[in-house]
Amino acid sequence: VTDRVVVTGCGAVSAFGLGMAALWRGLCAGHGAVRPLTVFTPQPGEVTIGAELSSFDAREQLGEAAARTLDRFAAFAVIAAREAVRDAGLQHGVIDRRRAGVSIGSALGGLSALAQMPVTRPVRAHPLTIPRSMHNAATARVSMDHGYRGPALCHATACASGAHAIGEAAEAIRAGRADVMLAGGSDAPLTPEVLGPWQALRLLAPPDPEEVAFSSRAFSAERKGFVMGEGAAVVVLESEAHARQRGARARVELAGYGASADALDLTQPSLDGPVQAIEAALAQARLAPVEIAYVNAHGTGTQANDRIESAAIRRVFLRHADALAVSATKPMHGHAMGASPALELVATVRAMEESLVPPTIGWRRRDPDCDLDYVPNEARAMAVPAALSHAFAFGGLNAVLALRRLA
Amino acid sequence: MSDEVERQVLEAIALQTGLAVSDIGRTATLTDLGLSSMDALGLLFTFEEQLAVRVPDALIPRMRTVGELIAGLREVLADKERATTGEAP
Repeated sequence: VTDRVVVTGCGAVSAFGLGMAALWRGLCAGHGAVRPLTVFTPQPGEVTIGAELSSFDAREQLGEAAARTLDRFAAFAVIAAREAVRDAGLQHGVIDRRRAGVSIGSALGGLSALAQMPVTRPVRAHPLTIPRSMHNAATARVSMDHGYRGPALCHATACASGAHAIGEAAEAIRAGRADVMLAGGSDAPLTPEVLGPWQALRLLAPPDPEEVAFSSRAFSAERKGFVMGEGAAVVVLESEAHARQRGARARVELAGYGASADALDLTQPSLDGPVQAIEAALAQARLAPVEIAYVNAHGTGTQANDRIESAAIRRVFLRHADALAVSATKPMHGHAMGASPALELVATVRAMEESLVPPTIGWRRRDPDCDLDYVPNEARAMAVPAALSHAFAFGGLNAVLALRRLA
Repeated sequence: MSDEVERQVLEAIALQTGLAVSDIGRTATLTDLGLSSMDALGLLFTFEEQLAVRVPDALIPRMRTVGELIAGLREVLADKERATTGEAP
């Protein structure tokens, strides 16, 4: 019998503030954290809204020396990982640190640190540019912070980074390479240099003229794209035997992980890739489609994603698709790039524990191509014995995580 | 000018380490003062910007202590001044 992988701790940094509790409170309130940006002053034509963590000061949180060497994305990861470790009770007692690893994915890494480099020639770079900007800075720093010397990984699969990071960390435990993994995603893309290129792809929603907080309207007929966010989330994954041995409380089981590639297009989503990833996650979890009660959707709010994701759900779940609660939380916490799937996994864990599903805010009108129950605008009390969390990234790289509530 | 270099170095180190300027001994290495190799490179970058000079790589192994760092920067600065006034070394 293969040992099960369980989630024993969660931590989050989001536009709602520091901590998993702030994230969960915000998501249930049904308003969201999209606001006019204050982290920089937009110039004419630049992006003006985002889900930002205002007044974040890395020095205050981590001290002067760490703040100097870490980009914002890595600082977020360190803070989220500390919370997850505390939540799992790992700070007490002794574990074999050679069998504890770290897997923090990031779509953009410290691209903002790289973007601060002057573009004049000859190039004159600050010596910390590379240590700050490298994608694995978050994983490295978290491993140092806890002295974890097991597998240390960094998956960069755009907006699915956090999901691949968590899924592959679970695989490391299943394969017997580690007992404990701190896994998640982190990104801090709210700078003019990073937002500009996303704006150029014409995927970002403009500020809603009536209510900025509802600028992104996932799965709604009048959806216009996503709003960029930032943050990090980290979960503690552990073999069930290890958790039991140290007397830890398991929140849920991370029962399945499915990964696939569309192998078709860099930016246009397809139906087959997501379907394959969903089916693979269900198969590993040994869950029948009818056992799933809730899907935390990728739900970016772009025309293409929401249509194709809805069709993929219909393809896998057939008639059960009409009984599913499907919600997108990105309109509330923003699209935090590689951190999104990790924030969404934490949201899904909390939904299962609280029997309360966060809503898809800003939903106004049915799109004939998006014909599922998206839990519009208000959180819903319902039992969630099993759930999926979707992540479908640019490049056509898909990752789906399946969670099961423990008896 | 040389006193200015010393003041800049000591103040920058004090800022990064939290030590008082009077507590920074000239024979202490930057590592002794609790700075990492990356911190040291960052400091050097700052001095290069402030003084508008470039410290050659070859000089860096000889700039381990605070005193050597100050001396090295003075040397580079003097080289630069000689170059701009066209004076023979």
